[in-house]
Amino acid sequence: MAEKAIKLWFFSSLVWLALGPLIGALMSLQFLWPNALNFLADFNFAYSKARIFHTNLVIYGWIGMSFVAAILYIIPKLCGTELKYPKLAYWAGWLWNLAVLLNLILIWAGIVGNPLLSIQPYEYAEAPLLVDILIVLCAVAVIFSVHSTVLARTKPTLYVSVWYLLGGLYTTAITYLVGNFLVLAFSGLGNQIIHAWWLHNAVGLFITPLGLGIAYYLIPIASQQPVYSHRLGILGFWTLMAFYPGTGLHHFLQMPMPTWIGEFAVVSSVLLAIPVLAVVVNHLATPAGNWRKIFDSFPLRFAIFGSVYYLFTCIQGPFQTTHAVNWFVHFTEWVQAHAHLALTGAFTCYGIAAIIYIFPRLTGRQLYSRTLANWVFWIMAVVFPLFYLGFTHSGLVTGISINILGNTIYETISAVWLARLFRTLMGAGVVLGFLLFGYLIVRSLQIGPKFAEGMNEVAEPVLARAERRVTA
Amino acid sequence: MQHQHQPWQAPSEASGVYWVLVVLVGAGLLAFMLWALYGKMRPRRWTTAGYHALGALVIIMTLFTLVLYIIPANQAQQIPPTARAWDWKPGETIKDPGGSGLEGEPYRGYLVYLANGCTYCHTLYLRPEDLKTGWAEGAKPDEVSQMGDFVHFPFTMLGTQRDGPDLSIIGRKIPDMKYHIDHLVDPRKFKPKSVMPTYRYLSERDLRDLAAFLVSLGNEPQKLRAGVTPTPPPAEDPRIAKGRELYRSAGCVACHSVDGSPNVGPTWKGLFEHEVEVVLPDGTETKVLADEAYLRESIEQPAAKIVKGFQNVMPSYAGRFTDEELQALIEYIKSLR
Repeated sequence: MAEKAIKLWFFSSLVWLALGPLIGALMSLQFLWPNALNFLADFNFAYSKARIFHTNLVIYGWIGMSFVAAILYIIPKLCGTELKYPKLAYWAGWLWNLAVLLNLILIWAGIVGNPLLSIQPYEYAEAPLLVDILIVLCAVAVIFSVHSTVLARTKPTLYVSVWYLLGGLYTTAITYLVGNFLVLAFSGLGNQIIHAWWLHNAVGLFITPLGLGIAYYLIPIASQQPVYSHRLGILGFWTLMAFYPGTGLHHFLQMPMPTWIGEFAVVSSVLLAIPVLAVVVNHLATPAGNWRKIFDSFPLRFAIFGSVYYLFTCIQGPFQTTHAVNWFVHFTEWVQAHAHLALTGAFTCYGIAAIIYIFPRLTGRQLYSRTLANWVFWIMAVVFPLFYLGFTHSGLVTGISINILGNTIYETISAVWLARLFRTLMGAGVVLGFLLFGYLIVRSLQIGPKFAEGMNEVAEPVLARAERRVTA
Repeated sequence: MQHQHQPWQAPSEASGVYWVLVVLVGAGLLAFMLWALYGKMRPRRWTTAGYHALGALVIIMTLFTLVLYIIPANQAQQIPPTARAWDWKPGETIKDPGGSGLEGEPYRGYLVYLANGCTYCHTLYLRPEDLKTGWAEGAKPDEVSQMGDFVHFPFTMLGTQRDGPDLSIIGRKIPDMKYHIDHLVDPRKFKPKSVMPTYRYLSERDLRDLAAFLVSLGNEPQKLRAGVTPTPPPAEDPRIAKGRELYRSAGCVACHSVDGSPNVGPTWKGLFEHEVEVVLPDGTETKVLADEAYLRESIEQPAAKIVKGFQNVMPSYAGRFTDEELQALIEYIKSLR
């Protein structure tokens, strides 16, 4: 039953991975050939709704579900016990899928003024109240199942990953309740301030701790090295928990509001450099004695790349929250590029690493093609950074044109057209990578060679190697 | 920079509780970091009770920061509203100030704005920084947003992204529901370079309410309830009526106001037979009298004489109007004294 639960979360996440980024690539055409997307209006649909589809699918469909799948797998392993209440986790998986689907339907329907069925005005928390309630039910079920597992552990001490995953589940719950329910108690500008708290903590207290917990599990086990430093682990975890919750208001730095709470957000954001450096040093120093593994192990490759992207994201983050930079890049695509660096770069790499690691152990089959896995990897390693650069370039040009030269936004549209074309092309490449990855997994279900513990997650090209040996 | 600060806005005036908390947490974190880096580690003492305490600490830390946000959120709710603060109740309607006779519900329009995700490309606040940039075309310095402007909103969608212009004063700049509806249905009819999607799928009621909401932005609710533009005199030249219609349908309204307020282009109010400071294509500045010939030239060849202080973004309308229509438009401008 536990296996069934993990499989459900795991394969559902792949479906949403195929869909979410695809919608993103499609809607980027709006900026290139706006008339070409007029047909969407025939389905009561427009770019602005597609954007909600895109963010919600990626966050709740792909990242949320793949991370929960990984948690359901990792926690019992680290606690030396079976998953408790697997039935609960299994049905929570179905309910979560239902919630994501219902969310899409209600966003599409765009019902006006219904307290239960209308979109909520909070970015990344657009889900109507009805969907929110379903998601809370799922979260409670998952937390109950995971926490029971931790309590039933046979090993007395908890490994770093368990802190992150369990702590992360609880902060996820708090954040979600604030962003979707508490915020309803405020109106006017107060509403915006509580919304800001949610806005960044959706990334900081939901996706980040879960993603880092998964990486803390995968990197040592895939490189067969102990974690570099326990102290850095402690430092990274607690400073993350201390500094992250306050950062949200940097999204609205120049809005009319009490300056001191903005200052607090900026200081928090800059201090985030501490947990980030602690975590990334720990991740990158762990395989130090055994770097050769990176040629061999795909989970290690993806997880390490995830940590590298995480480092870039989080160096960029504190930099852009300072007033001097923020007024310039704010409102431009620079910020969206930053969000993609975190979610597409860092956390999707962690998700892919987790899937490649867990798939053989769950289904008893290796991934069937090294070539295809390599393609996915190089797309994430080469095409994705180009996509990110195109995105950032577009944001910078917008910033220069409007903030420095004083052009209006209509005059700027033609100036960024080429950058946006580049972004769309590279983005389509990244989407292709995800589709290939989905194909790789599904095909491996059918023709993947048998897997036994100790074998590589991705099948070695046995025939080719044997032939080479013969010719030599 | 006319940004008005509330007295407690400055960090030094935050509440005493806030500072006590900040000092406590700061000192605690510093001590913790020193311990984590240099202190003695005794792993065996990590008992179950210890883990529970740490787990509780995670939750407390998160909630503590949340409280730090709740304090200003509460304070922000108690700010007195400004005179121009958006204040429309459910069910209340406004009449189109553009004179088309349409009526719409601004409050419901705000919900339509929400349901269709307008906030992902448009913001509803002007920063002081924006005045020096191209973000705030036609904005007056005192139109920079203040805290009191948002008091009556049931929820706020200030927005984090600008793929299109800021809308916080759109109603003051273009007080015309019919124009907004036409623009929502086909944005590129008026702004050829616009990348905005078409919202032709909205129901007529949704469009009307959304347009009413747009018109309500940047106008004082009291004035809008009373009607911002005076009703035209009953016995007017039919050409003027035709010109007024063209002003809207040809999109002039998007850039030129008729009540003297600033926008992308110069206002038409009091334009006729007044001296205008213009810049010629070669850069020389001169003054011309705004007579019929000047108006005609400005419509057909906007680049020939650009009014000082404005950028030349206007497309040429040569060939777009018949002679009769052009004359009607000029008559309309003449009537705006």
